[in-house]
Amino acid sequence: MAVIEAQNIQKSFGEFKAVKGVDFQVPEGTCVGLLGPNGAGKTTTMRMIMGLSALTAGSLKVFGVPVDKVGRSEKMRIGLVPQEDNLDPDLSVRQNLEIYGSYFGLEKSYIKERADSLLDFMQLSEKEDNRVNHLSGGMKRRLIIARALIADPEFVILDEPTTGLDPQARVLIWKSLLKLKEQGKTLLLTTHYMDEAQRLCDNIVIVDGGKVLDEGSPKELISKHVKNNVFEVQKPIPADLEKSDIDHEDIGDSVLYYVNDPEKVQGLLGKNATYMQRVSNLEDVFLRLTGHKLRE
Amino acid sequence: MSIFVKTVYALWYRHFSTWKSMFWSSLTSNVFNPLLFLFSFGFGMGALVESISIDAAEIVYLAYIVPGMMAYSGMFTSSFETSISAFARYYMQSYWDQVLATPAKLHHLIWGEVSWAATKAMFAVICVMVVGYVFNGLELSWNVLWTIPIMLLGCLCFAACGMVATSFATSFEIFSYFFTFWVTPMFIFSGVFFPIDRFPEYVQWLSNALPMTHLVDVIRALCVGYELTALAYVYKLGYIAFITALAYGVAYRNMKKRIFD
Repeated sequence: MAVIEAQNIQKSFGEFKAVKGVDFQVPEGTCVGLLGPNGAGKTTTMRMIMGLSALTAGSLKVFGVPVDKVGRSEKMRIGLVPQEDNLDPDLSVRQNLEIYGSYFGLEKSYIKERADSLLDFMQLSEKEDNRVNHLSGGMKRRLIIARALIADPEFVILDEPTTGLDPQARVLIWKSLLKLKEQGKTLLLTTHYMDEAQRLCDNIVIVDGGKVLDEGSPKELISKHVKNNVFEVQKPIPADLEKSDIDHEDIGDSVLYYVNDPEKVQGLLGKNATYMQRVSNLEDVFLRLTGHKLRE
Repeated sequence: MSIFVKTVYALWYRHFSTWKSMFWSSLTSNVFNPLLFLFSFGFGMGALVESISIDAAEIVYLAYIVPGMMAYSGMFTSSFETSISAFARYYMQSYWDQVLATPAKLHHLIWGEVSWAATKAMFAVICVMVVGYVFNGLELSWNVLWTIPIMLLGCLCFAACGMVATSFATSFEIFSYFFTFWVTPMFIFSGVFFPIDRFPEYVQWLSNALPMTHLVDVIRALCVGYELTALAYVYKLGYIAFITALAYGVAYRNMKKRIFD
């Protein structure tokens, strides 16, 4: 069964169409990544799933229930890690977990037990009595994730869970998210870090301008759009290469050539070409699909 | 316990937990505020006006203003809590988004705000009563005990009205209107410091439209022991209850539109 089924969902704010008809599914027990540049409609989509924003058109089902009929029992099964830090600054680390748990109507003893194990899981036990203001950015993110897990949800939505964190903090969060996957939880993730998506997601949906550009597993998307290898060749491009029918994209100062067999390009480069060769990754797919221009 | 009560209690408890850490500063300001007023008005105005007559009964000025101060503290504290404080939680701390991501609903959230504001205001009211009692401005009687549930109703009313302001607010600036055109008139036109019959008739019309005027009247009647008819009680308390329900409805509708659109 799919935890989320979105069919042609749309959202307008007045004249502005933030989401213009998006289809995707989040099958149970998988991690789906929703990737797109700023303003692509990712956060709006997440808010629609949480019932915080009404659909303008389309059909959105959460645990098989139309989103406007989603009630207490479905909400109990969802944990949300929002993009912004909305922890309670006046409360301690432990209070942030326990009081949030009380909004779910859970038993006190159960909440305490969950808080103990989550503080341990997110390596925050030593900080439990600290005020949230005194935590580092990485600790705050870990606490927000712990908070989303307080009711032991089956489905966790993560909106840019590691934005702005140092590499150590990110690795720690990835490890805990992988553990959640092992426990059989369903995850929906948005991120700007392609390595993060590649590492965590079984399936990726690339959105831009409020529409889905493509979807598939990271491997499928890479081999479909950017082959195995990428050559970034500085202009001027050697004549032989320019005449060839190799899949390529002009990005201004240089041209990207995508090939499965690197020798095919190497043979055409000639002696004086300046270039860089590397294994292609999801970032190449993302840039190819959403364009290289800066988003404002 | 029903889910409604349980959830509202959880939200109330969140506010209580943050307030607990500020208990002493809260106590200090809640005690000193009426002290300053009583000092200034009791000795300032009290020197000019020794007593005020209501229905042929002479009331010592201090005993006259203590009930007014009770109503005023309750009104001010609850209005402030659901306007500026609630807006800060909504707008700056994303507290509402945090709560609405859980099974808690908007009704729970607003009731959590309103019930907490009323609780905090009642704390201020009781501080005024203690100060009033210590300075011989309040005599204890069974009737005085009745002021507690009635003040609670009044505080719920002002809290709900503050919530209306928050539901319209897009920035903190908006609250200057709320204080200038709602809170301040209730301070000066509702009989806190002197009887409203000193105003020209058209001002009295305005006074009688404000729920505060009726609250002050009822609280004062119970504290200093002058008579109000049963019908007056029903009418005055009914009016306060009506404004509460109306304000709650408007705040809920506005907030719903704002958050979920």
